[in-house]
Amino acid sequence: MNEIDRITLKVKNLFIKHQPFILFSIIALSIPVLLSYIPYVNLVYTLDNGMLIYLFMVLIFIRPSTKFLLILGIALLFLTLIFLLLGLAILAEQVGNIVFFLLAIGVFSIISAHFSETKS
Amino acid sequence: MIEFIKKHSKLFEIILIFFLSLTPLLWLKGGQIILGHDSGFRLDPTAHLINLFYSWDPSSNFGADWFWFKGFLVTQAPEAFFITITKSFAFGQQLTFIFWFFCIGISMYVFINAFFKEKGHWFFRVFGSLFYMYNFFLLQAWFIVERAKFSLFCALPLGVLFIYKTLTKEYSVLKGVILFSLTSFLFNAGGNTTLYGVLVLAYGITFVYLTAVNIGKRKYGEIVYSFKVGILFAIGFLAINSYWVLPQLYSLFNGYGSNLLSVGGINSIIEWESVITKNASFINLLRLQGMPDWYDNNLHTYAYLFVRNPFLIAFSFIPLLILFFGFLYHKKLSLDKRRNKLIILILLFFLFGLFFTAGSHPPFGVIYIFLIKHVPGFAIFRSAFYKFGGALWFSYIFLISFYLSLFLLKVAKRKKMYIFLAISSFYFLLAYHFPFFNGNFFIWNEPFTTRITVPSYVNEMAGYINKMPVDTRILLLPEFDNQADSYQWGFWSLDSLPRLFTNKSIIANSANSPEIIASIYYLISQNEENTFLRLAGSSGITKVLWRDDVLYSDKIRTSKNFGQVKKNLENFNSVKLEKKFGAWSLYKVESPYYTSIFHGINSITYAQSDSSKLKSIFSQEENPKNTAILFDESVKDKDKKILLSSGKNVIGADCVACGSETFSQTKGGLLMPEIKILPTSPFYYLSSLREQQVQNLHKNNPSLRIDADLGYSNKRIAEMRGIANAKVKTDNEIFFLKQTIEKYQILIKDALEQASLLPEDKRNEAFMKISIYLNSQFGYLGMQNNLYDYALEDFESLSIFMQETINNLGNKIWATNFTENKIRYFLNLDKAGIYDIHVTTGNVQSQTVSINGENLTEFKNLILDKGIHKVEIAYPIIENLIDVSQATESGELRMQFGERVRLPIKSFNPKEKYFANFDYKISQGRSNASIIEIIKDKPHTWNLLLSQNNIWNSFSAILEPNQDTKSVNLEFYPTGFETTGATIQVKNIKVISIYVPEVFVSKNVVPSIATKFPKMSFSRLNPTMYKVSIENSTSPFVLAFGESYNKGWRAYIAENFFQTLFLKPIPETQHYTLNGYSNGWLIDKKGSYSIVVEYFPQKIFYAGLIVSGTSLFIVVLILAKRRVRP
Repeated sequence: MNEIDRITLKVKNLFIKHQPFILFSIIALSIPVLLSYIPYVNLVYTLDNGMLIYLFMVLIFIRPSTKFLLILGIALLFLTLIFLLLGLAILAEQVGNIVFFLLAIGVFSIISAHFSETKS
Repeated sequence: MIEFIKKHSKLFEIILIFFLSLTPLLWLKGGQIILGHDSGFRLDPTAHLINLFYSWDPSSNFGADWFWFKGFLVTQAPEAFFITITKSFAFGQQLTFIFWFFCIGISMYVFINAFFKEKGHWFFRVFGSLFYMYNFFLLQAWFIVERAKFSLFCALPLGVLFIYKTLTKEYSVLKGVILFSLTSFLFNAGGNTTLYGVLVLAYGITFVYLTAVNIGKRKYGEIVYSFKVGILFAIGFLAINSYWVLPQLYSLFNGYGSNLLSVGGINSIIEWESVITKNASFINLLRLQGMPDWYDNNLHTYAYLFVRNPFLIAFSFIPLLILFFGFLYHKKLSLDKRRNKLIILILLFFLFGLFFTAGSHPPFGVIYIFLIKHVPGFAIFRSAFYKFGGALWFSYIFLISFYLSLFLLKVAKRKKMYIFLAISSFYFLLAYHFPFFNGNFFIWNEPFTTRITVPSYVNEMAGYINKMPVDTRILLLPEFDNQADSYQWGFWSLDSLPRLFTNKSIIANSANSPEIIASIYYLISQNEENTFLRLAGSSGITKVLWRDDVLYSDKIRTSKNFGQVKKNLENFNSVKLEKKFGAWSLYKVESPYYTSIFHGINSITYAQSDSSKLKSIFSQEENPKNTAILFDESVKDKDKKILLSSGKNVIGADCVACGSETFSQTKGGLLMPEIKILPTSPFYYLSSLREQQVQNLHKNNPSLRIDADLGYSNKRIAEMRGIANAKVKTDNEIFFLKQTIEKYQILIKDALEQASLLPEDKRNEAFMKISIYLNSQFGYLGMQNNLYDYALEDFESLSIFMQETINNLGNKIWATNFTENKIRYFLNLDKAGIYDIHVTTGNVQSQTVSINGENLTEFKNLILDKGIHKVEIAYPIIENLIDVSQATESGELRMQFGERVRLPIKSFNPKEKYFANFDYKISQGRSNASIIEIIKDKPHTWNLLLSQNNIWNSFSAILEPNQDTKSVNLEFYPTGFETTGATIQVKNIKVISIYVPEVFVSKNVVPSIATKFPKMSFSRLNPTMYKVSIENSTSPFVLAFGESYNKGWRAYIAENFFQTLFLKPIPETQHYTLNGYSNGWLIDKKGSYSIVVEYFPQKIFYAGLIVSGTSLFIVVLILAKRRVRP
């Protein structure tokens, strides 16, 4: 088995291993994109909304730790600050929306932790 | 000492909050006060409170309903108290500001202290309270000292606290209800229901959350408890606030306030909402910013620093960082379960607050818009940022203070370090909010500010006016600009300044003022004394207040620009200078036609026209003193018996296309829409489906169906272009193109067919509309050369169809033609008869009047049939005021990129109206044409919308210059890119002075009922109640009452107020609008008796007041008993 075959096999292996996730992300990405092109539907369901929902679905699917998300949030905060300082308010707003989502996830995790503690 | 401080540490915390509440002492210096804009301050707040007690405001023109503001009886009580006890307006105001500053801080302090009592949490308590006092959401309210919002900020933490403690059973239900009711009484947000969005949201979340928690702990029985608590709290709130809730509920169910809820319809509400929340993105809100003023107002005194300064931008991220780190270490901060429950509640406030405050801003704005559209009553929250911002600020401030205090406790191991960090935090908080300390935020649009020094002559005039009889009516001059009253010394308000110091009737062209006021102003400017006296006298105006210190909102025009108006006024024989204080002069009007507020009417003129003809009709009246004009609109759904006493019928003729919208046979210029979904698209059927639905919806409404047809015909034209621009051209495209042409013709034919179903005048309007659409579409198709590559024959036949239709319509349309000096009208008579025709002449003497094509030689005793008549007034040819030969010999101008031609209007007179008309063709680049008015040496440009379609188009418009315009130029200057070039050709330029006379016919009729009004006298009990004594009435008569018409005014044949409780009023069908604004009742009782006239909503207020008073008494009694009980 030469090197190329080995890498190919490794990629194949990776694909098979993560096939559900890859398929899910493709479908999850294509749905908002498609929906945002349908007339009248796209009055409500814009590409912006679609992307946020996609992000949310991916987060639900890969379930990263809340700590990771909050640290990501802090990192994105700095990115937002840089955009604002550069006068790129529109970009800052888009990143800010993601920050909001991460914050919301933080709130939900605190709430769920509280109730699980209360139950136990 | 240290021991004392330790023992009384909380007292010192409160003292610190109080000390910082003294900040307002820095704001006002040297007799400055806060007045104007929306501040709602009155120069005599005690008199204002007394006025507020009554539901009718007599100072607003001819009076206006204001029972919507009853909540201010409590909210504005502190200022009345402080100003009265200090006997100084400025100092009293400062104390009022301190009061509100402190109340806001202490309410947050009480809330935090209820959960974090330990000494160690002192930083949390103080920092949270100070942050609640010092934040930019409140600062934007401070510039108008928005007491309603401050009151709301006080109510929010306290209300949540009492609900929380009751639902968690730490308070008994009775204690909870009493404290909650008392709080909602003292801090009622001015009774402004739109502000209650925050409270409903916060209280609702608290109820749902704690009920859910209780259910988790103690099963479903808790629902009953929560339900009981909810009902009792609601009853407590409603009972103690009945004095303002009952009137508002009454208004809601009787349509008094319907206009408040649906100003401009749902679309304008959404539009307004999107303007307010334009900058309410999540990232701005999370930095506690997003205030609309910060981004819209270039003259904002501090916003630019926070939007542009990199350090301040960086600092604005600190709250967000604290929150993120707080979430990260939330578990490690190890709170007990009880407090964690509270934190979760606040987190829910935070999330919901963020969502609602962002309003219609993306990404969730569509949900908010859905709520506005589909949830009944939600439209009152049309400025989401202001209505829900309180919930976000409260929760966010709480969370930041909470996490910061816990961090400090964890980080600072040594006490000194802790104190150092705490003091640094306080210092940083106050330093970051530095605009609080200089008071410049009151200057909202320099020189206009709410922090002013009132000139002494204003106070002197106020004193003089306040001594006048209660029924004095004062006309303000110069008239308002854009319905605002503004002065050189900085005052600006939508309400007039004199209304802030007196309750005498102040007449001005403020919002929703009746036609009679505009007519009075017009008559003074036109120097028509006789008709002015007729209108002023019949409306009870006895004084004119001239102000020499007026500065309009444009900051250019001052009273000096109205010198001619002042000269006219002073030249009137019946107007005499009565008193002068500084820049203010009061004139006395001695009108022979003066009538008191109650008077009898012996002649009704029934006018079948709109009220704009009021002054012309009045000028013709022989006895205007006891004559009233009853417009068509006033007798709709009313008892027509009053018309039997009519002595004269007047029917107005409607001028066709002589307003701002003119018409010519070649008029077009509409823009075609951009179409994304073409007939070739698989989704096209969705769009067709929608069109069919709309057309079916309007199948029985020809006018709306025509609008739909024409709108869709524009879409068809745009679709033709879209198909023709396709990169790949196949038979399929040609098929769709032919089909679209066919559909287009069907739409136009349908529009014509629908027009034929309309009466003549409406049909004429429809024809004009269709003609404008066809011209626009024809011009648009003409420049789409590639269309003709496809289906040449079909396009040729379409072109013929369009041209023929335009020509046919041109022959049928009856419209004013200013270029030929022919003004055309429709006169609609519902009865045949002998009529006199009246035409106002203005300055133009020579004119020919024709009816149905026949020139009139006599204007009296014309025999006219029932139905629609065409009236035409032709003037001799008037000189073209543009001298084109100055620019070119041929009369046609051709301009290239960079050239500019300016054509002045000759012999310009600002009093006249002008009609401008020219043909133009733009071959390349963008055109630009504008009308430039020179006002006080500064040019004001009015850009003209021209079509860039490479064909000859026609443009026409009417110009109504400002009174102080010195000259007007017509200017053309092609723009674009130098490389591609720009060319515009213009010909047939014509500007003429025009005059549109008012035309109406009148017919004297013998009244079927002889009316003779009896001798009467009246007394005013208060602004909402009058008693009129009638002596020996021998026939039915009309009782006129000079306050603004409102169906809340009711007349009872009764001796006193108490009898009105048991008697029925004179039916509403016999209550009319006289002269377009006042009240009139048809009284058919004979003999001597009394009539009590009352404003009915005041009774509702009295009922509410009794309930509120009783509730308050009970609450105080229970509190007192609990305190006394050992």
